[in-house]
Amino acid sequence: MMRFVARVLVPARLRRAFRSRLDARYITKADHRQDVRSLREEYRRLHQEAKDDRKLDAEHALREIELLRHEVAALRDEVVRLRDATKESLQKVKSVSDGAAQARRLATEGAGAIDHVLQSEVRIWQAIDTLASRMPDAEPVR
Amino acid sequence: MRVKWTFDEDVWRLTFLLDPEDELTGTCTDGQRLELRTNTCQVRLPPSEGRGPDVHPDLLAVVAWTVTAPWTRRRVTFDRPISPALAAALHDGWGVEAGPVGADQRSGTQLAISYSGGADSMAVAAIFPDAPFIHFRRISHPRVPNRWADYRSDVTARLARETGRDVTIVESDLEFLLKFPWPGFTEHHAVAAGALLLADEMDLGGIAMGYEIGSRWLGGDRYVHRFTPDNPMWSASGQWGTLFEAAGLPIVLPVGGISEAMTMRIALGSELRDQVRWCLLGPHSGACGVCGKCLYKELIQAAVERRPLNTTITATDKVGRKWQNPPPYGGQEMIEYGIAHVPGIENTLFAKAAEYLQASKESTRWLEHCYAPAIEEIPEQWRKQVDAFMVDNVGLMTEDEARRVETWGAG
Repeated sequence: MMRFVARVLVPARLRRAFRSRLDARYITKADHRQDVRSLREEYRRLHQEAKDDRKLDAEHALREIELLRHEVAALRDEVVRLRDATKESLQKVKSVSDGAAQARRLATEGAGAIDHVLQSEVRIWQAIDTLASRMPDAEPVR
Repeated sequence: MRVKWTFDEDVWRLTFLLDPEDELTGTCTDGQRLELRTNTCQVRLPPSEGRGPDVHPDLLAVVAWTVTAPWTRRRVTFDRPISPALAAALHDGWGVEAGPVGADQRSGTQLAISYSGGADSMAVAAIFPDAPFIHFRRISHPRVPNRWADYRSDVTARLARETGRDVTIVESDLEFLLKFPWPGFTEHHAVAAGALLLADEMDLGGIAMGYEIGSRWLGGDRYVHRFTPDNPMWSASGQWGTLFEAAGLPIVLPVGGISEAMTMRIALGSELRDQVRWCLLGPHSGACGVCGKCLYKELIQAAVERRPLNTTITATDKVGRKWQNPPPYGGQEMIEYGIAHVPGIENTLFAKAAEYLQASKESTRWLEHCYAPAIEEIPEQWRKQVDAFMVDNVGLMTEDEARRVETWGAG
């Protein structure tokens, strides 16, 4: 109605002038619709992008978790392996040190036994010489 | 006891046989109980062209006696006749019949030093700069497993050579004759085996040893820890002094009148100081620093240098523990000297000993001077040189100071 009134009442020149001023100050309905449309599109695009990003992140995280899971499993295997190896080498150390203690004991006892034999030898010669001196006719023993 | 020597290519081998009354146990002249292990040993002289077995029988007899005395009860029969003087010395000193008799008495003119490489024998070397060294080196015994391989006789022998002096190294396994308390000299004098066997060849008329005032006059080491003018091991007129003199090789103690602090000072001031070594365990590069002897000598050295004690040993370590007990200590005069002169001794493992001994610089001054009777005891031909050295480098004790020696261990 207003449009019609304006069209009727206002001379075309004035109306043009008015409209051009008005156009200079306000966006046209068509442009506005276009803006709304492009904003809506922009929003949809960003929304999709965010969605895609989240999806990508999630995929990354999943891959990461998978990797870590493998690593943990490998480490667990390593721990088991090392634990077994430690047990084994402890066993070895123990048997070596048992061997060393045994060797030490044998060396000490062996040396003690040799000392005993050496002392006995001195005593035996002492006894032989004593006996020999009681038998003046006997051949000298050495 | 019957003694038999054989000689083959610079090696003297000794076998001794026990008479019925002899025993495998005995006592060292210093009172230590001993036990015999076996009855053979050898002394290896350095190779020499044309050396034969023609050594004076008295010299062979004295070497044999240094390893057989503890086990011999009534008589000793050598494999060649000895001089009447030697037989008399054995009879008077030990109450044993020695024979057969029938050799002339020997004599010689030169002085050699029985050189261990420690501070005491190095001090002797400083007093007699031209005297040759004879160094005793322990080797293993073919019949005894050597379980004491930490004893580095190779190191002391190498250091002795590095002195650049005229050094003769004589090797012997005679220490392994001893089963108890451990391998070592049956009698301290066995260290002179090499000097005795070389005495004719080197025309020796005296053997200088590093025994200092503690050993000679204060009854130190394993002995009685009191004044011993008639010390049976080291006095000129004691049983061993008389025996060596009868063999024409009197024992000469150039540092017999001074303390280990003074022998240390002389050794550290000597041109041979880089070769001084009292530790038998450390490698060629240095002393072990953790044995009892290293600790004792560090105390003396710190005292001589008037500096704090430098050791990693603590009061709870095996070698540190004995200094937590009250005296008497072996070498106590040196502990007193150390306590009096080492700054901050109250913060060391010697704190307890310091409390017990209460020594001061004043009370230990006598240990910085020479006890004159020790010089009197030196055979005349070498006395002047020792006397001059002592007067110039050490100074003689006053009467008061000499009294400290003569009342040592009394009360």
